[in-house]
Amino acid sequence: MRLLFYIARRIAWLFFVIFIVVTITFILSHVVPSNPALIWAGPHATKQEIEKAIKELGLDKPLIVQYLIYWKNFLTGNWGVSIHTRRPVIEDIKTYLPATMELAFFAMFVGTTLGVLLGLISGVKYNSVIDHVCRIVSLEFIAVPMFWLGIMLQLVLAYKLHLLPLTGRYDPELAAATGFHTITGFVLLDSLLEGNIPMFIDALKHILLPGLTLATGPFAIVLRVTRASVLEVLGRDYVRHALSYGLPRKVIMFKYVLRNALSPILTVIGLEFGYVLSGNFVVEEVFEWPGLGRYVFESILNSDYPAILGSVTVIAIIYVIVNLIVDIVYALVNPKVRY
Amino acid sequence: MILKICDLRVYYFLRDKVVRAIDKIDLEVPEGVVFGIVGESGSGKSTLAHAIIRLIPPPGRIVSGSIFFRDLDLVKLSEKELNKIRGNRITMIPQDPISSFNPTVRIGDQLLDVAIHKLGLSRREAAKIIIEKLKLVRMPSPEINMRKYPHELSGGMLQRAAIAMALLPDPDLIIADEPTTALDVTIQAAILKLIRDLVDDLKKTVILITHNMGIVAETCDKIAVMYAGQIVELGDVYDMLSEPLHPYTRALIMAVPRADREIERLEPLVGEPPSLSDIPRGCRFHPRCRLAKPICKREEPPLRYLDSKRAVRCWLYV
Amino acid sequence: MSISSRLIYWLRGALNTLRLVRQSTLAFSGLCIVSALAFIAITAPYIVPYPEDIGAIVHPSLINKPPSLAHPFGTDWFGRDLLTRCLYAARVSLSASLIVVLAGVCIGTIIGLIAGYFGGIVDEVLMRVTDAFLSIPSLILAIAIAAVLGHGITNAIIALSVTWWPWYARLVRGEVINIRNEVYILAARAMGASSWYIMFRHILPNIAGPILVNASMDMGFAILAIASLGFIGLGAVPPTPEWGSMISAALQYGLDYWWELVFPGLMIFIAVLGFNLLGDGLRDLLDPRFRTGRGVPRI
Repeated sequence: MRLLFYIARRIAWLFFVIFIVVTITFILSHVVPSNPALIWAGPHATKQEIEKAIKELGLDKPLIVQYLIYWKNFLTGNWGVSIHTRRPVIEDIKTYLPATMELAFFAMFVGTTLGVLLGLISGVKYNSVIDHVCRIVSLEFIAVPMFWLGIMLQLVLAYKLHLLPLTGRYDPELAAATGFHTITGFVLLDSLLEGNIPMFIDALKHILLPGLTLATGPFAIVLRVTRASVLEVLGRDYVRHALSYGLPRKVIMFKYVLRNALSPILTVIGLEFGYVLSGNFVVEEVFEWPGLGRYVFESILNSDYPAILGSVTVIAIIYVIVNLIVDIVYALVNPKVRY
Repeated sequence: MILKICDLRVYYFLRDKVVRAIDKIDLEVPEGVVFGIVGESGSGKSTLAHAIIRLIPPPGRIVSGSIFFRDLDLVKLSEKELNKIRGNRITMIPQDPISSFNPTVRIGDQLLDVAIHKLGLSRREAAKIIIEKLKLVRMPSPEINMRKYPHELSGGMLQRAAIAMALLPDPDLIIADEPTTALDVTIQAAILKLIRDLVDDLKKTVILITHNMGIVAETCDKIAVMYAGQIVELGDVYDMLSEPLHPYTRALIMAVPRADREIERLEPLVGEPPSLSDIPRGCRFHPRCRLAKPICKREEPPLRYLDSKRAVRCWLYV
Repeated sequence: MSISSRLIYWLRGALNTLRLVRQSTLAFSGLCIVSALAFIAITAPYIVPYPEDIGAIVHPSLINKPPSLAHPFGTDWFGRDLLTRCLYAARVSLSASLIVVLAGVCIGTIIGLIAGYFGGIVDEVLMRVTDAFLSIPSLILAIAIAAVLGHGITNAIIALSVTWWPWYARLVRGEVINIRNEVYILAARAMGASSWYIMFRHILPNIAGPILVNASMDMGFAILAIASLGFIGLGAVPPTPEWGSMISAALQYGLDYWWELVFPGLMIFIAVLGFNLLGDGLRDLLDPRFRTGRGVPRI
C-alpha cells in the first residue's frame, strides 16, 4: 500500500518537472528572444511566413494565453517545423531518438556494471594496489573531456591502427546485402532478434568506441560512490555479525554489503544518465552517430530553435522518466521505503 | 576446559601510538558454565570477545599468545579453518540486536543463511529447525515474525532471534557481548534468564561480557574482572561477591545498590580508567587505589593464584 | 577582535590548511597544477611566445606544421602557434569557469539561506523549484539557453550560471537547518538580532567550509562544461582561443593534424584534474574516514 502511495507521489513529481521543463522552454522561446515569431519561422523567413507565425503562435494575445496555446501545441505534438530539415520537429525526433537511446543505454550498462563491480572490489580491498589504481583511473576519467577522449580513441584505434570503424552506426552495404531492416530503431536489438549475426557484430563494432567513450563518466562516478558506500557499510554491526558467523565471502559481499550499499549507487546511476544524455551531444558529433545529439549540433549551427527546444524537452523528459524508474527500484531494494 | 587463553596480547597500531587493548591475558573457561567478564567500557573486554574468533578490525592485531578451543589453537588456524569454527562451534550474541541484523533482509532469511551455508541444510529442513529454535527462545508467533524485516521488530524480539541464531548450529561455546546493554530494563531480565537457561537446560557454555555487577550476580557461575586490558581478579561468583579481594572489584560491587545489605559508607571510585595508549607504570590501578603502597607505583603485580580457582593481581595479596 | 588580530587568525588558519594539504600527495599536486594554471591565466599576454597569434592572423607559410622547436605544440590551420593559443585559452576558460561557479555559489547560497532560515512555505516552494531544476540535466538546459541567447562566451557563461545554482541551494539549506537551532543562533535571536544579520554574521561563516570544497571540485566541472559548449559551437567566438572550440575547429580538417586535437584537450584534462585533485584532497582532509578505512574489517 505504501509502495503504491510512494509511486503515485513520484509520478506526480514527474508531471511537476515536465511542467517546469515546458515552462522553461516557453520562456526561452517566447520571452527571451526579441521576436519569437522570427525564431518560430526561422531566420530566412519571408514577411508572410512571419505574419503567419505570429498568428499561429497567438503572439498578438496576452502572455498567459500564449502560454496556454504553447501547452496545447506541446500536448498535441505540434512542436514546429525544423528549419534545416524542413520536417516537423516531432517527426525528426522520432527518427533520431532510437540511435541516441541505444548508445546511451549501452554506455550506461557498460559503465555501471564495471563501476559497481570494481567499486565493490576497491571498497573491500581498500588501500590495496587495485584500490589505488581504481582511484587514480576514476579521477582521470572524470577529468577527461568526453569529446576529446572520443577523438583520441578514434585517432589511435580507428584512424591509425584500423581496429574499429571510424564513424557511423553500421555498414550500409552490409545492411543491404543481408536485407536488414530496423523495426524498433535499436540496431543491436533488431539484428539479434532477426538472427542476423554479421549485422549484430558490425553494429557492435560501431558502437564500441562511442559507447566506451560515453561509459567513462558513469564508470568513474559509480565506482567512486560504490567504494565509499561499501566502506561505510563494511563498518556496520550487521557485517561484523555476519563475519562472526563465518558466512561465505560471496554471501557477505553481495547480500550483506552490496545490498545495503545500493541506495546511493542507484541515486548516482540516475544522475549519471543525465550526464550520458548530455555527453551524447558531443560524442555523436565526433563519431557521426545518427542520433538526436548530432541533430541538435546541426540545429545549433543553423540557429534552428524549434528543433533545439523540442529535442531538449524530449531529452529532459526521458531523463526524468529514467529517474522515476530508479526511484521505484530504490523502493524495491529498501524495505524501509516499501512498508 | 573448553577455552584456554595464554598470554594473549592485542594491540592497535595507530599512526602515532600503540593502544594495548589486551595485554598478557591468561584465562581458562570450564565447560557448562556462564563465565562473566566484567569491566568498565574501554577495559578491553569487547576486544577480548572479538579476539577469540579473530575478528579484530585493522589497525588492530593479535600480537602474541594462543587461544586453545578444546585442543585447537585458534590463533594459528587459517582463515578457512577458522570459518569452520565460527558460526558452527562458536557463535555470538551481539551487543545491539537492532543494528546487528541486515536491515534489507527478512529475519527468517538471515537465520536461513546460517542454517543453509553453515549447516548445509536444505531450505525445508532449515526452516523447520529455525521455527524450533525460535520457539525455544520463546519468540511469539515465530512463523509470522520470521517474515518481518528487522525494523518491524522490537529490540527484545530481535535479541531473541539473535539467540535463536546463536543456537542454530548447536555450538559448544556462545559469546554474548553485553547482550542487554541496548535493551529496555524490563526486557533485560527475560533475556538474561534465557541465557541462564542455555547453560542449565542445554548444557552450553556461555561467555557473558558485561559492565554490570548486578547482571553478573544473577547470571554467572564464574567471573573475571578486567581493568585496563588485564585481568585483575577471577574466581567463583559466590566467593568474589561475598569476599572481593582486589580494590577495583570491591569498588565495582559497592557501586551496585542492594536492598538486603546496609552499607556503612559508599566507596565511590575516583578518577578515570587510564588511556590504553598511555598505561601507568607499576600497577595499572594504583592512581585510583586508596590502598596503594610504594611498590604499586614501581612494579606491576603478577596474577597470583590463591587456590586452584581464585586469582588476584594485587600487591596486597603477595 | 581587532582587525590585526583577526588577520593573524585568518593567516594562521590558511597556513594550517596549507600544512594539511602538504600531507596529502594528491591534494598537493592538485594545488600545484591549479597555482600554475592561475599564474598562466593571469600573465598569459606577457609570457606566450607569439602574442600576435592570439588574434585573427594568418601565416601562410606555417599552416598545419607539426610540433618543432620553434612551435612545441605545432601550428594551426592559419599557421598560428598552438602553444600560444593553448596558454592564452587558459585565461578564457579559467575566468569563465570562475564566474560561473561564483554566480552559482551566490545564487545558490542566497536561495539556500532563505529557504533554510525561514522554513515553512518559503522553504517548500524554493526547494520544490530547486529539486525540479536538479531533475533536469543541467548541461542540456544550458545548451538550450545558450542556443537561444546566441553564440559567444558571455552567453555561455550566463547559460551555465543560470543552471549551476541548485546544488548549492540544497547544500546551503541542509547546513543552515543543521545549525539553525544551535544555542548561539538562538541567543542572537533572543537578543533581537535581525534575520539578515544572523544569516550573514553567524550562519554564513559556519558553512563556508563545505561550500569552498564543493566550489573547488566544481571549478573542474565548469571548465569541462565551458569546453563542451565551445565544442558544440556555443562558446567563445573566433578568433578568441578556447580549448573546446579549438578542437572542434581542428576536427573540420580531419584527423591528420593530430597535434591540433591532442594539445588543447590535454590542457583541459590537466586543468580539470588539478581542480578535482584539490577538491578531493580537501574533502579527505575534512572527512578522513574513507581514506584510512580505520575500523573496517577485512573480508
